[in-house]
Amino acid sequence: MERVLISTRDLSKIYHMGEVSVEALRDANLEIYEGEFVVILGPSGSGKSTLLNIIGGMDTPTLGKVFFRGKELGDLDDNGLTRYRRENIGFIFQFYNLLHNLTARENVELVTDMSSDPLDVMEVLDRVGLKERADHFPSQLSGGEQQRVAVARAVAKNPEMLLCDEPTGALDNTTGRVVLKVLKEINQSLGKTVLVITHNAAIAEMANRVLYMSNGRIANIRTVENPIDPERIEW
Amino acid sequence: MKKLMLMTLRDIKSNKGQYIAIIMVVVVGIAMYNAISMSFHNLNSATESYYEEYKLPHLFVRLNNAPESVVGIIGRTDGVSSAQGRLVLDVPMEIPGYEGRVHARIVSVPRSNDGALNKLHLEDGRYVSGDHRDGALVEKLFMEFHRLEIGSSIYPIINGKKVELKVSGKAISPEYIYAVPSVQDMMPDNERFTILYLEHSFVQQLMGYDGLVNEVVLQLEDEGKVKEVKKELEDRLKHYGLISVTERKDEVSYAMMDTELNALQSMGFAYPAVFLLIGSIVIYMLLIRLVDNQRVQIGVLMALGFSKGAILFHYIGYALFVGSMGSVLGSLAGVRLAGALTRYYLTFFNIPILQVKTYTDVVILGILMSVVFCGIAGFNAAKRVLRISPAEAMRPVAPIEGKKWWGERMLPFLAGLKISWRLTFRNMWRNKKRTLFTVASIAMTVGLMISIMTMLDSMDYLFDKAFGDALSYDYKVAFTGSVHRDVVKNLGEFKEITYVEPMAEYPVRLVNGWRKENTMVTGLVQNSRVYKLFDMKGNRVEVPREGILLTEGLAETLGVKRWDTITIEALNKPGIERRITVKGIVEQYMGGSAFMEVGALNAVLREGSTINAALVNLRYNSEEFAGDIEGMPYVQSVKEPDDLVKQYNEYMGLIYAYIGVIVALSCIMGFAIIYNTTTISIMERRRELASLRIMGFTNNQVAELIFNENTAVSAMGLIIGMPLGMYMAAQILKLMPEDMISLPLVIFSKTYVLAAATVAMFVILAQLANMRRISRMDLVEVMKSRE
Repeated sequence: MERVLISTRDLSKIYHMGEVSVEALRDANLEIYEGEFVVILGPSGSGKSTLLNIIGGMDTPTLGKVFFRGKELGDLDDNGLTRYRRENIGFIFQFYNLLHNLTARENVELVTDMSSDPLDVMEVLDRVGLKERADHFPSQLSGGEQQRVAVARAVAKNPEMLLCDEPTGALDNTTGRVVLKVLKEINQSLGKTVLVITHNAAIAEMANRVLYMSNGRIANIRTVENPIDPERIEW
Repeated sequence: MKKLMLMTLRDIKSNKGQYIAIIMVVVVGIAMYNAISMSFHNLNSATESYYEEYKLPHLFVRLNNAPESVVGIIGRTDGVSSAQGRLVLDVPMEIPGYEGRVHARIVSVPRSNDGALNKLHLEDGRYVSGDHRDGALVEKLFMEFHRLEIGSSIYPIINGKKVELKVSGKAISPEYIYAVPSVQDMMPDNERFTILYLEHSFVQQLMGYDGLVNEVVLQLEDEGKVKEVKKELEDRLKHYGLISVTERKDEVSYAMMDTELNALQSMGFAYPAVFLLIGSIVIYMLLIRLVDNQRVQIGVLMALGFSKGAILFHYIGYALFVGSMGSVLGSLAGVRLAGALTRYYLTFFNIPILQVKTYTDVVILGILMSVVFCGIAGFNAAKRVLRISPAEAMRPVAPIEGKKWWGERMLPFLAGLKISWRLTFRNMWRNKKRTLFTVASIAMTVGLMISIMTMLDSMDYLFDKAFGDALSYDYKVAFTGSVHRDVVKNLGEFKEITYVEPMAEYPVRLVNGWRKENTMVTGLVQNSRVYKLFDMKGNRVEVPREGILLTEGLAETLGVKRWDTITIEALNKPGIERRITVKGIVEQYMGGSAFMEVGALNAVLREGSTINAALVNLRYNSEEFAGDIEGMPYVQSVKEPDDLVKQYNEYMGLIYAYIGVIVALSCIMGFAIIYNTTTISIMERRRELASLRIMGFTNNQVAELIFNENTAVSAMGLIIGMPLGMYMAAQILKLMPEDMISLPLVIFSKTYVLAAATVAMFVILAQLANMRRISRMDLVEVMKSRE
């Protein structure tokens, strides 16, 4: 599993807000391998979202470079970044961001309709345990279920990597665990790289590697010898 | 409170595109209202004071030549304050440097202009008295058209002889504000028709009509008694060769002006109302969105201790801002436009007294209307503030409930659409009110456009029908009076004439119970080769041996249908009246609105074997020959059927201007509607759209979701707007006087295509203007904020 999927070189991001400039990310260097499950831990404002956004092609660095399979993202224009996100990245947000007017199945189909190599929609919904509820609208689903639809939506277009921004942040621990289980399952059976950012240290134990961030820097990278089953995570 | 006001202004500033668009709609509405209403007031007061000061007669008595003593008899009749005798004769005229013949109406005027009825207004030159007794005063617009100067020579042909007269002045008369020879001639023709004002005794001498008059005009002590005096005169003058007694309201120029003023007045109300209504709908939609978006802020304000009233007023303030800005700018523009529009009207009407005034009451009413319209819309949108409680406001809104709508359950094909379209329809269904309002606004815009474009279609159709199938003669030769039918034979002897057919036209009154209408009856030969009539289904109809054919419009006015019986009265021979059966309803093209067989017509009106016109076809279509016929003694005029078209086309300038303006304004309005609803949808769905972008949707794919909705709404508006436009066009047609022209309501498919293309154009423009909002959306920023 040692092929590098993402690598960054001296990544920095400086936000200018009027007179003040904030250095959200400083000289970040890291490599993420294919099939890895990585958790980025850190308090709010530590730069983890900024890092995720830059890796996901939603934001561009002020300094430094990001490579996806050796190709530099900085060379891509807006359309190129859109294609990059479409083909390679599946996003999962804290607040699900489903389209209210579409059923679970339609939310997934909306994305597969524009993908070149999508997975079977019902199969994916089955995988996240929502086959029976495919024709429900988001308002008829619980938060955990909605997040699983969001996972299905991210996975169904068959991307290389899932980027999850506090995926359990809005959920209680029981439903949160179900979502994490689904993520792990997808990581293992489909071989998708998963990157989760969270401030919840308990989640870290299910990962292959954990990145600790503070004040915009990667403070530490730890390899987890024996990742635990998400069922056993308590918070 | 000041801070709240500041918030309003800053909010408006940061969304200026939207507010500018709505303000534009209000500006257009108010500008139209001011321009049209002020032009109406300008023209109305100008004509009224012109009629008053220049003594337009209340009654016109037409006689076969009668001794001048009749003037005294009329003047002594109860209720008559002054009477004036005159001679009025139509003659052909030549002017140097102009190939064709001119139809001149000689009107005799008293020795002194002061105190005269129909007093002339001299633009230039001297009155015809004293040294200038043998001069001619010529109607102003004609002089200007032909560049005639004081001292130029003109050559009327009187009793077959060419007479030289010198132009001594340029004049206009209240009797000919709208200078047409008769009701049949719809448009003023400054090239071929004019009025010559000559001194009375000079006309008598010129014509050999010493001591005679053929018209007496009079004013009454009390205008309210016009009916009684008219009746009295009709009785008294029976033995003086009375032709008719006409009230001023039935005189062509007066009636035309009246129609024009009425049309102006109704337009001045109707069009601006549509604009204001749509403007307020758009504000309403905008404010609903604003209040929903600012829930948290409203909660905070309440928590800080602002009263609900103050907050309510804060939101109504947005609408009032639009209403007051729009109406003030609109009034400024309208006042300027009013001057231009009034002056433009004056190129068609001869009115010497004209003040272009600014009517403060019109301005104030406009501003009030706008503020009230917008204020009501604002209140209705903002009143949802009252339902918000502060604690609740600071919690997030309950998630939107998604559902399939009945359409998908009932119509399976809707459920099988692409997801983006399913989404579009569900969104539209969820925002029913907004969808409805937008569809209605687009429908009104389309209706406005179609109603005005249909006018062109109707005219095209009319001309095509009239000159393609119906009227195929080369010239209509009108005689100076009734002539024996055999004259047709004489005309037939010219080798240039290949075909000739007699025709007669007489003024009559048609009566059905209390409904009556003055019109011309056209007498035609059966199986006419050059003047064909068609029924409403387009089948050829012959004039019946007995009975009368009426056009649809006239039949409607009289409230009759086929086989009904009506009374026909000769207008030029009081006392002659007959019952007659309506044998059919025909389509009208131009001029004529009642048709009979010429022999039957003569029998009814006791005219013997006479006619007063002939229709001819020539071997070669030579204008020169037409000129020769015009020189014949008993010939009054020679006209091509498409002379009417030429005249019409001159008048079309005005119509095209209207159409252009209305279509352009409709586009502004359509743009504003689509621009605003698009902006609102984008703002509301920012998060949804941003997440799609993050998932790899391109800007165009995201835009498609929003624009599908516009496409659907506009298509629905278009579908409803088309029949609405037809209905509006029918209402406009009703404003047109019956016997002038009755336009068939026709719409060509190209007009639908044009309307659809115009809608497509403003929809695309409005979307392009909004594209930036999508492409510049800051994905990271949007995702950070919680719903």
